[in-house]
Amino acid sequence: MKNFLTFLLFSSFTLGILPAQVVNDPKAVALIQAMEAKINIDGRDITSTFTLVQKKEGEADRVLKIRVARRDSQSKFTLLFQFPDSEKGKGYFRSGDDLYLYLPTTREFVYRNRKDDVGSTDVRTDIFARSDVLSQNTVKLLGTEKVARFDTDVVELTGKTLDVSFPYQKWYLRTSDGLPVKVENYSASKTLLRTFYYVDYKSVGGGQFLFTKLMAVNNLENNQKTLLSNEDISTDKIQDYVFSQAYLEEQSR
Amino acid sequence: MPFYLPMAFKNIFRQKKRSFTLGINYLVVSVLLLGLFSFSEGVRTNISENIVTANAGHLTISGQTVVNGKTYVGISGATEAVKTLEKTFGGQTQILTRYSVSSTLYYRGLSKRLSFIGIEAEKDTRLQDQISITSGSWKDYASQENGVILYKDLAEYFGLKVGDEVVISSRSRFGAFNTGNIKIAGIYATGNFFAQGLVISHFEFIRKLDLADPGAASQIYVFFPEMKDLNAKRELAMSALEVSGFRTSKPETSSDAISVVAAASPIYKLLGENVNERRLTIATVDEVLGIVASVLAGVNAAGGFIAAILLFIIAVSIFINLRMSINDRIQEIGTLRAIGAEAKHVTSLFMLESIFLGLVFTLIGLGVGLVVVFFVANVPTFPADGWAGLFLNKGKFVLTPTLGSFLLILGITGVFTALFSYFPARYGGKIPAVVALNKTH
Repeated sequence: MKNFLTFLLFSSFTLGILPAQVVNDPKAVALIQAMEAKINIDGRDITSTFTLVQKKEGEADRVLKIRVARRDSQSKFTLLFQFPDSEKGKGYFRSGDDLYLYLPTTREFVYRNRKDDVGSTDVRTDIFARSDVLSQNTVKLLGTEKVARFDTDVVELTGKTLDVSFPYQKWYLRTSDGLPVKVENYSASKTLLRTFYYVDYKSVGGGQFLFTKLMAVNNLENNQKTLLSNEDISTDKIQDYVFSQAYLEEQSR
Repeated sequence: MPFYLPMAFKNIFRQKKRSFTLGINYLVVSVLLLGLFSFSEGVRTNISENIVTANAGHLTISGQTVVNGKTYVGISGATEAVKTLEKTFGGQTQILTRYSVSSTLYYRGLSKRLSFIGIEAEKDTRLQDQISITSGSWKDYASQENGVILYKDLAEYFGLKVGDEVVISSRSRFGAFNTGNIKIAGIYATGNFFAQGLVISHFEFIRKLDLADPGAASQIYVFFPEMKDLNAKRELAMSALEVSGFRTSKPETSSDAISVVAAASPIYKLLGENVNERRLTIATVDEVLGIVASVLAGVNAAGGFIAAILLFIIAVSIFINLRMSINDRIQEIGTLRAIGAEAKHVTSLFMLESIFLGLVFTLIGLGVGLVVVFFVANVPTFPADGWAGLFLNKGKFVLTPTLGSFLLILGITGVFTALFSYFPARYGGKIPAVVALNKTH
C-alpha cells in the first residue's frame, strides 16, 4: 500500500503537468472550434502533393516531394515520398495516435512518435493530420495583432501535459475568416523555436480550406526555413486500401 | 629416458644454420603471441578502468518509468533508490547519480547535437580526475548553475571560448521541447576515450532542462571498496529495490548492458493503460565490458590467424629439419640401436631435440617480446582522439604481459613441436640398426 501511494505521488510529477490555466477561455475555444471546422475536412477525402524546400545557410536547398492521402473523419493519413530518389518509397501511415514510418530499404515499419518531423525538416507530420487543439491544450485569447496586412486574434495554447512537442504556442487567426496565418511554437522555458506562416489557402468547398503555401522558420538556426507548397488537390473518394501499411509496402516496389 | 635429456639438449645446435633458421620462426611467433596477449589484457584493463572512472559504476543502474502504459526514459524516485542502496551497502559504498541528455547547441549559425552529462560537482569528482582543463577552471564551473566544461574539439568546432553563453534546445523525456542557456566555464582535453566529446554540466541544470521531477535521474552508479562478487551484490541491490517498489531486471545481452550505461532512450512503446511501474535495469561492469570481449575476440582471431600461419611454416620446417637430421645422423642412429637403444628412445631423442630448440627460442622470443612490449607501451605517444583512445591511456598503448600468457605461449610451443616432430622422429626410430649402420652417404 505504501509503495502504491509512493507511486501515485511520483506519477503525478512524472506526468509532467504544466502549470497551465485549468479553464479554457470560452472566446478562444470558439475561435479554435471555428478554425477547426474550416481546416478539418470531415466527410471528404483529400489527395494532394506537397513540395518541401528546406533552406539552410551555407547548404544547397533540399527538396522533398510527398503525395498525401488524408481522411480526417477517421483521423488517418498516408504520406508517400516521391522525390528525391534516395527517399522514394519511404512513407508514413497514421491512424489515430499511431504513426508508422515505412523504410523501403529494410522493408520494415518503425513505430514513431506522432511528433515526428518529416524527413528532418522543420515540418511535423501532424501538420497533415486532423487538427484537435483542445484535446491537448488549454486556450486563452491574448488580444488582437496585425500580421502583415491581416488583423488577427491571438490565441495562446498551453499544453495540458508535457507530452506535446511545444508546451506553449501562439496562434494568429485572421479576424476576417478565422484561418491561421501564423503559428509560433515555444519551448517549456518560452523560447521561440519555430514560426509557421500560412501564406495561402484554397477552398475545397463546403466552407472548408486547405493551406497551399506555408513557410516554417526555425528560430534557433540562422536563416533555416522550409517552404511548403500544396498542389494537385483532389477531393475524390480514396480507396480504403490506401490507408494501410500494405499500401506503402506495395508502392515502394 | 633421463639419459637422453642432456644428449638432446647438446644436439640442439649441432646444425647451427638449420637450428637458427627454425629458431627465428619460434622467436617471431613468441613475440607476436606475447604482443597479442599483452594487448588483449591491456585493452580489457584499460577499458575497464576508463569506463569506471568516466561513465559507469561497478553497478550501473538506469531505468524507465511507465505511467498509464506510456514508457518514459529515466529513473523516477532516484533519491529513494539511492537511500535504499545506501542502507543496503553501508557507508563504504559510494553512490552517485547523473543526469544525461542529448541536446542541440546553437552558436553563430552552427548547430550540433551533443551529449550533456549532469553531475553533482561537489561530490562526483570521477570525471574531474580524468580531464585536464586547458582553459577556464573546475572552480568556475562548480560555482555557476549553468556553467559547463566543453570538450576541446567541440569548442574548436563552434569557435567557443570560456565566458561565452550559448542556447541549447532539447526534447525532454516527455516529448516537449525545452531550451536553456549555458555558460562555458572551461574547456577540457582527456586521454580517456569514454570522457571524450562530453559537455560536463550540473545535475540540477540538466534535470530541469529535461523537465523532470526533483527525484529523477538518468543513472545511478554504485562503487564498492572492492570490485568483486558483483553478481551477488547486484542480487542484494535488486531485492532491496524490489521491496522499495521498483521493478528490477538484469541486462539480457551485452548491448542491453551498454544501453544501461548510455541510459539510452527505449523505443516508445504503448502498453496497457493500467500499467504503472518504475523499472530499473542493473548492469555489472563485467557485463558492460562484454561488448569489449567481442571486439577483443576479433583482434585475437586476426592475431591468432597470423600466428597459425607462422606455426604452419614451423611445422613444415620441423618436418624437413628432422628428416634431414635423421639422414645426416643415420649411422649415429645405427650405433644407438646397436648398443641397446629401443626405437622409442631414438624417437624421444629427436622429439626432445625439437622441443628443446622450440623452448629455447620461445624463451628468447619472450625476452625480446618483453623489450618490444615495454618500448611500445612507454616510448611512443599517440593522439588519443577517436577510436584509438579505446586502446590508449594518456596517449600510451596499454600492454599488460602476464605470467599466464608466458606459460600459455610456452605450452603452445611445446605441445605444437611435440606433435609435429613425432612423425619424422618415429621414422628415425623405426630404422633397424643393421640398415642404419650399412647406410652410406
